[in-house]
Amino acid sequence: MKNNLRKSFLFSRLTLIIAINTFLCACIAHPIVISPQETPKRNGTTLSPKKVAYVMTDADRNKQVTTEGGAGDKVSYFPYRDLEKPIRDVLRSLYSDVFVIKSPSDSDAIQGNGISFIFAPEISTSSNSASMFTWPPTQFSIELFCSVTDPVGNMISRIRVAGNGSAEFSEFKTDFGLAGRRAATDVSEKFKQEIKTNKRLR
Amino acid sequence: MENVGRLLLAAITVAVISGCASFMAPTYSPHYETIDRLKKMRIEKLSVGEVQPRDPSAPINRITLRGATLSSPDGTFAGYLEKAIRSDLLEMGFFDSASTTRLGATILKNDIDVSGFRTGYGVMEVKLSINKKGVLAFEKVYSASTQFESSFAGGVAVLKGQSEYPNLVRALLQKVYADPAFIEVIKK
Repeated sequence: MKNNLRKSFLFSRLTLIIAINTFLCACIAHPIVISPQETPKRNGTTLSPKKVAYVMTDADRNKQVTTEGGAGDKVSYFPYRDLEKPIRDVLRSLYSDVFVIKSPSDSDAIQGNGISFIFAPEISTSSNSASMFTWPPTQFSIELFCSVTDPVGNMISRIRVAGNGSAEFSEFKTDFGLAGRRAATDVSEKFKQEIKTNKRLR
Repeated sequence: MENVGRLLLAAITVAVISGCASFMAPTYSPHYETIDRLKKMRIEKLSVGEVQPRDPSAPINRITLRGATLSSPDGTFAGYLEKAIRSDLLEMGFFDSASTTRLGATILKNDIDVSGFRTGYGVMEVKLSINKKGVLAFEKVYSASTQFESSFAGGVAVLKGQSEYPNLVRALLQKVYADPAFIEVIKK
């Protein structure tokens, strides 16, 4: 009798803890990281001799985005912070040198570093999961729009690429941003191919 | 039925997050403005010594986030820091594995604390040295700390702590690369 009461008390406590955790987790967006699994490698023999810059500020890096996860929950992440390295690695795999600047009109940095092209990226993302029980997104899309200008601000090209990633619950283990990381790998490879085949950017 | 499913998932989450799960630290990415400033200077080529301590059971190689383990994709956090330094030197064009000017480092403190319900903290302290042709030319302790939003919910706090680790390493190396005393000793 005493044992049964104790079991019942413990079960109630566990249920309460789980319910509180479920409620709290459901109220707050689950943080994930979407930095890619692989970034393009630099090969010294095939580089354009030009130097380029990309625009990114601390305000961009600190921009937190919330999109849909599964089970009615949401996920949050920092797309510019997580995608800065792949954007830079793509440019480093194609050009002799790469710099980060705070604005396309930062003439001191542009002239001082002998920059030929300025890439200004804009990132938009979406995610979802059909799961009724689990929050990590199983589908993730990243769209990268990049305007490319010359040192005096003339438009050279506009690039738009989209990357997709999907992941099943059985693959997540503790890597809950896996679909996003796959989308980031996909978008960075497509970004590289787009620049590579654009004659105005060589 | 849906509620039962969610309850079960939460039960699994609680179990996972309260002890047996291992979360991997995300990939390091540097503070690129600092890298760009340093790479324009005339700096000696550097090799990188094995960052210490390498023992996986050393306290600095063991970070727990409310009972869950934070692991390094490079085996140990000393390995993570070594890879980060090597990758930064490569990015700046200053890495040469054969150079007799050798950068060494020993991690003294390394922790991410998500025990608080509102704020999480990262702390790292590293003794960095430069040896030139086998002679100690420079030695200094650098420390960095970060603060980030934590949560009462363990499932959220652990993930926030996990994603903070690269920021902590970035903050530390940013201090090193911007230090005039460090730059002076590796200048050509």
